[in-house]
Amino acid sequence: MQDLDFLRHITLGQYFPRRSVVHALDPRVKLLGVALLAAAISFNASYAANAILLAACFAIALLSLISPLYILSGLRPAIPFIVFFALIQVAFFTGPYGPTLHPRQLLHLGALVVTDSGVRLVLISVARLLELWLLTSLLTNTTPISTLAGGLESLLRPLSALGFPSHDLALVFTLALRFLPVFALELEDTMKAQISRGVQWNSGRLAFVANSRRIAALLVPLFVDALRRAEGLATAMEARCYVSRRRSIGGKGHTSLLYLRFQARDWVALAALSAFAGALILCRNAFPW
Amino acid sequence: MVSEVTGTAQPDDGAAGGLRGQSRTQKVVLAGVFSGMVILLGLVPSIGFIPVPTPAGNATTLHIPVILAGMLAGPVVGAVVGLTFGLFSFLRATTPIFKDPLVAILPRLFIGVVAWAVYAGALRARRGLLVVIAALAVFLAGSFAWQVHLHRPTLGSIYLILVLAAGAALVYFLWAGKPEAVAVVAGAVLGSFTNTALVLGMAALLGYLPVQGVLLVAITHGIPEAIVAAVIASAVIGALHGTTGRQRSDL
Repeated sequence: MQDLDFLRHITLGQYFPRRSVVHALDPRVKLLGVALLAAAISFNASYAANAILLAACFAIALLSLISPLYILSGLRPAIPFIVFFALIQVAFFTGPYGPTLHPRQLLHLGALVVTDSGVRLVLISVARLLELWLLTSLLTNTTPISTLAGGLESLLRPLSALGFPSHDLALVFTLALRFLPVFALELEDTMKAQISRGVQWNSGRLAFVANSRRIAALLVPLFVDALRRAEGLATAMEARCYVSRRRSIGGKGHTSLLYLRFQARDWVALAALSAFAGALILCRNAFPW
Repeated sequence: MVSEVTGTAQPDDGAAGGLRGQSRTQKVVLAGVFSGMVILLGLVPSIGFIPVPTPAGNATTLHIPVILAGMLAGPVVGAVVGLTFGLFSFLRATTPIFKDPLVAILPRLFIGVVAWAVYAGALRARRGLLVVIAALAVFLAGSFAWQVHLHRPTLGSIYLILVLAAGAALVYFLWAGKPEAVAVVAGAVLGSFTNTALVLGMAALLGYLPVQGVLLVAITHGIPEAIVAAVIASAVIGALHGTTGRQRSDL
């Protein structure tokens, strides 16, 4: 029987408190930086650009005083899958990819054709995986989630003038995170209650039907409870005169506890990241290799 | 379950009762709660997936809160919860396929919308139209299962039996005048298939997987996930509306 302690599973992206430059940056800068670098990563399919990007991600990790190799070690359990998919891709991909217009065949084994475009696709995919994994891990490693949510809402606020419900979206995110420990404890209680009443936990691949019934028996009370909590929370919010930003009382909108303000280093970081990502995107076709 | 706010036992109308009359606050809270479910199912391994005898080993259950959100709270909430599912899948992905937002996030937006559309449509459609659509679906599924049977007899026989059983169940439910059960199952199955089809379709389109592999994964994963989604969705909605006639479980 596996562990029944679910609270330790729900750490969403470990936060490592450090006194580093990256930790002290405004969360909006970090979010925008990740978005810009992700765009640069998506647009670049050359080996040279990805080497530069990988080095940049390593540099950011070192700047935040977190070891990049430690972050990448989280991928270790997935290595067999990555290798498996890479082999399938390289064996079956025949189209052009990257700077070369005509893929050159490297190996020919009957129906399997390996082209240099296929090899490029696989290597670039792995490089992108490493880069994105580093960036997204660093985002949560250097910023508490609640601060991130506040930064996200602040970034989306201009859109609310167009009618986009940015405040509601940020609230959805915050509520989801707020309810995680509640649901985890609820699930634990349900599991313990069922086990104490003799539920059998069949593990093993052919116990599909039994397993789905067991999971249904866990999920149904969880959902029903979640819906009741949702109803109670909505009533409580409305009873305390919560309204959406657009129709707020007095017209001024919501204030928040977290007050974000850009400082000099935030502007510098944002400028540097924009220049770097912009240069990579604009010069994406200039890399020969 | 005692309500946290008022301390009294709450009847489960309002947010759980139907799509009409849900205020914006209720929709936001429902979206938040279902998104929390998605994240919980993704983080706790025991209920996040079910071992099945297929190559990849597990059928995931993360799409079920999205389907339920679409059916209980409407297409917008379904799309938001789908966005959460996609973002979570993108951020936790360890293989290059799912590190692509077009594969991880974009298709997931449609799960809740499709589930809502099928559920709401099936509830409002006249019985005759439902019978016709059901017959068409059974015919399509049957011919697909027959094709599979021609290539792989054992797998095909299993699917033929499943299709016949599903067809019989459909006939029974429509005859007995319980369109709600049919609507829930149809919404769940089609919502699950949306997830499978669109995600694998994007993966094939962008070159991550060959088409034969995509079809294989779609069949071996998509069908157990659809079955699981149908079972759980009908259990939850049955518990909320008393459709199955059983008592609500008060833990």
